[in-house]
Amino acid sequence: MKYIPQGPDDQKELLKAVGLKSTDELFQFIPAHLKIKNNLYYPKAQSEIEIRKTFQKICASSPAPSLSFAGCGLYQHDIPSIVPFIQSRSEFATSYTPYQPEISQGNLQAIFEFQTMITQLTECELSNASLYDGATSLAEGILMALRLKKKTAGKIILSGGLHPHYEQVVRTYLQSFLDRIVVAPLKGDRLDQEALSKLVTSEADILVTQSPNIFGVIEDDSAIGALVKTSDVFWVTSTTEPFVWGVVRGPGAFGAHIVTGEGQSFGAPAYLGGASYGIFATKNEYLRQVPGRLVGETLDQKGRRSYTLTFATREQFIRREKATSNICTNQNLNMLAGVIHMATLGKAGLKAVSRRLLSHAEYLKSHLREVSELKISSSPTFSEFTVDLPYGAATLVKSAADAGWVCGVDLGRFKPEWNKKLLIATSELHTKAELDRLVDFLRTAP
Amino acid sequence: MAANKEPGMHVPEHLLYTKNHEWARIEDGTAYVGITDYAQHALGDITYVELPEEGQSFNKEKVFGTVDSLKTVAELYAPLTGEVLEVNAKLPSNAEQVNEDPYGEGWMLKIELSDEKEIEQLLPAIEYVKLIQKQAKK
Amino acid sequence: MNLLERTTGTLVSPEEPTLFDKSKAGRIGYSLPAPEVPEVVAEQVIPKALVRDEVLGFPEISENEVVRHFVRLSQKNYSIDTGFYPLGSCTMKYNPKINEEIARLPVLAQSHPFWDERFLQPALEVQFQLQNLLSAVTGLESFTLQPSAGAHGEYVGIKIMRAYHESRGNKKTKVIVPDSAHGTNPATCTMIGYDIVPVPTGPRGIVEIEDVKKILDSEVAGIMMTNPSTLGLFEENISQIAELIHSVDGLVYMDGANFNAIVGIVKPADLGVDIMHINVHKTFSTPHGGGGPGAGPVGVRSHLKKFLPTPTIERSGERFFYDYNLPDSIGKVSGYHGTFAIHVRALTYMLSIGTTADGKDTYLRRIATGAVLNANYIRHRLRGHYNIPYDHPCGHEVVINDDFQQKFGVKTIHIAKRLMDYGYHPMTVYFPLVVPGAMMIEPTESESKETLDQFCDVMIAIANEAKENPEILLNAPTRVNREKVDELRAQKQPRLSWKPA
Repeated sequence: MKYIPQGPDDQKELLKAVGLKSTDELFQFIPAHLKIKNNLYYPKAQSEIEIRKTFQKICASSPAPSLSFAGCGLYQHDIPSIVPFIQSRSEFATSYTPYQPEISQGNLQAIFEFQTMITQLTECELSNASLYDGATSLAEGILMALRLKKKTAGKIILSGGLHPHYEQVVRTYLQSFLDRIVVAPLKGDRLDQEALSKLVTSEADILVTQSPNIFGVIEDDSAIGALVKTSDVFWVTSTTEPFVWGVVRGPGAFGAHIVTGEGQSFGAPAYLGGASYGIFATKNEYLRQVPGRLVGETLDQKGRRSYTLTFATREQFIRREKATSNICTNQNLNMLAGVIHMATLGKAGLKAVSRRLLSHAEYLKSHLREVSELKISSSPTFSEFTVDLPYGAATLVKSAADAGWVCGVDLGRFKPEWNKKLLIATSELHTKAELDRLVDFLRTAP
Repeated sequence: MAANKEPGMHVPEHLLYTKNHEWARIEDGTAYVGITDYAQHALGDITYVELPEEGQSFNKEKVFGTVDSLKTVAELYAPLTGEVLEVNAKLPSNAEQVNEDPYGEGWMLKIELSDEKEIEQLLPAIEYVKLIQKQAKK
Repeated sequence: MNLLERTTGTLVSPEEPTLFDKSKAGRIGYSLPAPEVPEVVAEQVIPKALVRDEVLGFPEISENEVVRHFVRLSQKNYSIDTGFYPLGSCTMKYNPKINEEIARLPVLAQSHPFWDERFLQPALEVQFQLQNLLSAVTGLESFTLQPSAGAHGEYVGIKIMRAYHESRGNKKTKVIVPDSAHGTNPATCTMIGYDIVPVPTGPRGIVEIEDVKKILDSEVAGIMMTNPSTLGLFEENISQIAELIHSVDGLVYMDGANFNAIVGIVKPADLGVDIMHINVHKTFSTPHGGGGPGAGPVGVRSHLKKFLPTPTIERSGERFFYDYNLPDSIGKVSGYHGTFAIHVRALTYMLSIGTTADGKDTYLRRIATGAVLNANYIRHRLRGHYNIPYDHPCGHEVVINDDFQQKFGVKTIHIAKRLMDYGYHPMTVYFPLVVPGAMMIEPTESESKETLDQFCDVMIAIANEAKENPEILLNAPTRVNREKVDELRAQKQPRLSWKPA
């Protein structure tokens, strides 16, 4: 077997050295009647030639869409060529967790640089090395807030504008606290500030908001921050499109205690949501309660600047049942793609792409507003916005699918009362011709 | 018995001890509590101490907090049943005090005792010395 | 600093500044096409109080400088492709490159979960096939691919356990966990709200039936076992222990971290296991990536399928689809469908290691056989030089410790650091906790006899150094990029992000 260096002669030598006659004896501690004999239903092993054919067939089973305006938590972006090029280097891809700092300075420094850029984007003091994804990152943020507020049993306010998948994951993680959850209503497509001010009282412990929200609307973090300041409430935020921080200030600037988000836009294609990494940032004073890995800067015994995993006693492999979380990873290779992408964009590139995203979305909005049957609110948005249709969004999406492309996301998939809402996301990859095609499509539908 | 100058073997006579390497100084129905020189030496550089709140109560031998060194976390067990009257506010940010002065500035809790009879179950210095001498030999 | 020490003429630069040190205003690393639609400035459409002009501190570097920076960083890392990684319980086996090629197929990489399912058939089929193969090797009928890592899989598994008991109205408060268990096991129980009842590791290094009987009562929800145990020893009693647990309507959870020792040899379901997670980044070769991403699919017996996270992946004729109609599901545990980019790699590998052409054997068996044989070989070669607390036939890993070296003042940490001077990544140290000074060595099937011999020669040389020249070990490592990184200082003076000097 080409992945196993030992040939039959090697095996003979090894068996002799350990004093066994056959390899079966290696497994003498498994009762013979339980061992697999003829009952393993497994296909024949494939060579690389056959594997390529297998996947060719799988990929050909249905056509990929020729154009997509789907966003809703995962976004298409231009991934610079150097990102996959560097990410696939052996020394990054096949390295282990940097528990031995002396021979892992590459990974450790990359994480340190990532942590730094996240603090800059979110305007927070401290970032960890990433968590699984945006949804679990939000759940972990709320759990951390609960640990910090363990004396009181106040309400946990969830914005009604949370991405429904994120809310579902939060509710799964907060199973023991479900009776404390109350939903802050929206007024139209944005958080109702008046209703919110009635909820953010001494009866509440935690406030959870998301911006841009499920409708693509940018919430008024400035007003929310001012409200939070008047209370003891712990404010946890979530963001699914971190490019928004190229034009909008980080939640840390408005007083958010914990900032979470999905990092996928930096570094990876949508990949079915499976190339994600969770952003997690907070204040220095909460350091000891932070879940996940942390890399710190220090010196070695020769006085050279060095990096190391630090504050490890928070984590499961030491603190075990008292750990801040059971998490045993950061999504390092995904995070690495993220930091390479961010470094390539740099200050100017991030600003340029964010402006392009905003411009594309505003272009679509202004043209679609000319279509009388369509309604688009005046709330501020970034790269994504919602169109209210006079008919079901599902028919529209199906019509585009029949023509081989994706015109947006039918929000009715989450809640029946949203079934006339189409969520449209733009990308810097879209050309004017493609944007115009979407406008024409909506203008002439159904 | 003279204070032993070997690292980790300092055992003041006027205190009482537990097999979990805590010490207690009894004062008029209350007790000051901390960890012993043996414990701080075994842990190495202490980086953090997590202590309870005033007003919390603990039964004897229940965990009241934790102490972190670089690579380990150790649990702290209440030597006696009682309510926490005072917590050493200088820890956790000056956790090294536990290494430098475990019986003095490194004190952790002051508790109000619920059952003074429990004092009899604590080890006097001479018994504790025997215990750590045996452990050190292992 | 001496200019010579700043040289870039060598392959491995001793110093590589951060991106922020290399940043200078006005440098750019990216370009966009010219705008085709009117450029909108944020203040025109977003309230002023929320608008930002630029991200302060974000680096400004040219593209080629970024490349050089990260290539140089990579050269400071050790990796499987560089050399042997004897890390116990991590299964640092070869990461095949065909996995990477397939993972870059655009049809798979650009899949979006909110597309109509007609566009997602390739992605669904990949996930469906992966589940089938995982079922085949474990004997557990149903799988979820949502957990993003082993620990995440444990979370899902124990949550399913809890859902099961709640559905039956059982009063269950605790889970039995061996004291040799990995830290994620008790941490998971705490997250789910179960107390932990530890069961000791017996004198043979495994869990003994009598010890389980002592702590078993009607409130035990189940047991979390690793097989082989974290000591690398086959849990010989697992079937009988499973029966005991089942007798109180408890469930048996298997931590699949050590599955490489038994894959293709026995199916965990046949040992009495009800729920199991697999670490595909261990047993099924997906890359460790410096610390993730991994995947921790969870398999369950069919009567537990209804509790699986929603949605599950089903097939109807030629069509694959997501089934969201699961009223008893524990809910959603991941934003979408798990770490799909890793699933693709895992499927590629699993397709490579099936039945041999003559149908008489499987490469799965050969993997487990190679792994276990290699570990036992190391055990034999190191005997006499290092203390082996449980010196009998082991699984895919062997645990030794520093008992023989302590009298020279040398401890496990010194041995580990000295290994770096010889060009090896150290083995796992100080785990499992039940063996003081533990060193856990797992060679995997990917290593040749020469590599094993070279490694053992080095270990023996270090044992001799401990006797004859212990100061070398106490000062190690001295031949690597950094020496004795001050971890205490990192905590006392926390610097978790870059600050200008």
